[in-house]
Amino acid sequence: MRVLIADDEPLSRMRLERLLSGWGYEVTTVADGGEAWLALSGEGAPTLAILDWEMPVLDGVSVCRRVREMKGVPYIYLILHSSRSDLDDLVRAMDAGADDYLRKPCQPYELEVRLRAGKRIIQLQDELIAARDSLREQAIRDSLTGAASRRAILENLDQELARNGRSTSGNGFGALIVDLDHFKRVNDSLGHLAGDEVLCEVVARIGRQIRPYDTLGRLGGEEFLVLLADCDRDQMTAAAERIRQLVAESPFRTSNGSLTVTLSLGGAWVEAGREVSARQILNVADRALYKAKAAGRNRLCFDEQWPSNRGLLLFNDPARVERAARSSSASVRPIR
Amino acid sequence: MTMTQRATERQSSPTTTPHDSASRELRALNPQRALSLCNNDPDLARDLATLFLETASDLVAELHAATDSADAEAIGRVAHTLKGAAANLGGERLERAAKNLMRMGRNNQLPEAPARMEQLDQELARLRSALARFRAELESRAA
Repeated sequence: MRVLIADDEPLSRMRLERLLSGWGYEVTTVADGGEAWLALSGEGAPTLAILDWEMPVLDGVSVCRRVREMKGVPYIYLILHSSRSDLDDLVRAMDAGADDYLRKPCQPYELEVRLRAGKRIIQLQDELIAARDSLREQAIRDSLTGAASRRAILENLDQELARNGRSTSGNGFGALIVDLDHFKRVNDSLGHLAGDEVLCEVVARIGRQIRPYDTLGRLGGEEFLVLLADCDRDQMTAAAERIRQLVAESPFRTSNGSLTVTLSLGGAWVEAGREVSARQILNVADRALYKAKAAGRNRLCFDEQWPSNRGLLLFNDPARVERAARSSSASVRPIR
Repeated sequence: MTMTQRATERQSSPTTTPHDSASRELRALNPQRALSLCNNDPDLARDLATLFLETASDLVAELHAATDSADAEAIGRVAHTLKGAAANLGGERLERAAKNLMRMGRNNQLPEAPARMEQLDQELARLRSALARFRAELESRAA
């Protein structure tokens, strides 16, 4: 663990540095408050600091106050170190943001336990940050295939549509809903593990075909969404066809035997500058996908007909699906 | 300043209470405290003593200059540093003498400063010789 020691008096610096190094801390020393502030506000700052109160440039209390004003950075545990013994001074230091107050010259055994208390807080924080990062990763990534999660790809779709809607010079934007054909048969014949391997391989093959600024996400089950940024209608058709071919042309090897897999793709394309909602474009692509399935699978279909906003259903809202079905606007269906 | 502090200082003043130099040295430095402040690491204690002996003269020269030029701010600042240095070695008498001078500087009570400075010089001389002996003892123990 890295610790900053700020003190303008050389003997104090030497004594603290040697004691802390002996206990296994990684120590940085500075001789005034200005340097202390630089060290604590910079990249990769130490997470624990022992600050002398009276120092040139900036005193320890001011350093505490500044550190506490920083937002969005890991917490730094601050120990103020001073020969001042008044209770008022202690209160002032803690009010300014110090976590602890040590009387000078501190006894090693006291210093050691106070540091340990600080270390506990910082380690607790590190664990929380690691847990948060791991949850964040789980939220944006599909744990099986490594593709973007449903949530992440739908968020991405909103952003891409907004960007395309604002764009005046772009090529347009394409979305492909990709669905494995007869995937249930893979699971039934080779088992679910092999089915999982197939899904991973599909993601790997599609991943090799799309450009770095395109995204691939798993909507659920064997259904994926590919977002093709800044691409015209022909480029989109070509990309979809490459994906179809790359999956269909060579068999998939799984731990339980190999098999041929095909995909059906439903595409929707929007020109640059046109504002379209995620719900709209997914409806169009989904309708195209059903056409592809109905026409015999292993193919790409487009739906050129954009429904009016009025005829569209709320995404994932079964109640409205029901109402719409009753009110006879038969062509619209929800997206899974 | 409290009555007790005044009394202690009067008593410790060389003109009022004669003591032999060895016992004064003993009181100038508490070797046990010096070692315990270093977590009983004799190498660290020796290095701190060396650093003190190397740097104290400059600080005291600065203090003299500040006293001569009646620079209250400098007296307060330099005496504070000297106080801190002495405290790290358990040099309690010098620490106290430096603290007195520091307060004088900060409260701008300059007329008393030269007398306090003289006292500080004496405490420094005692601590220096006590430290030299302490260091030699640590070295002979290590050898």
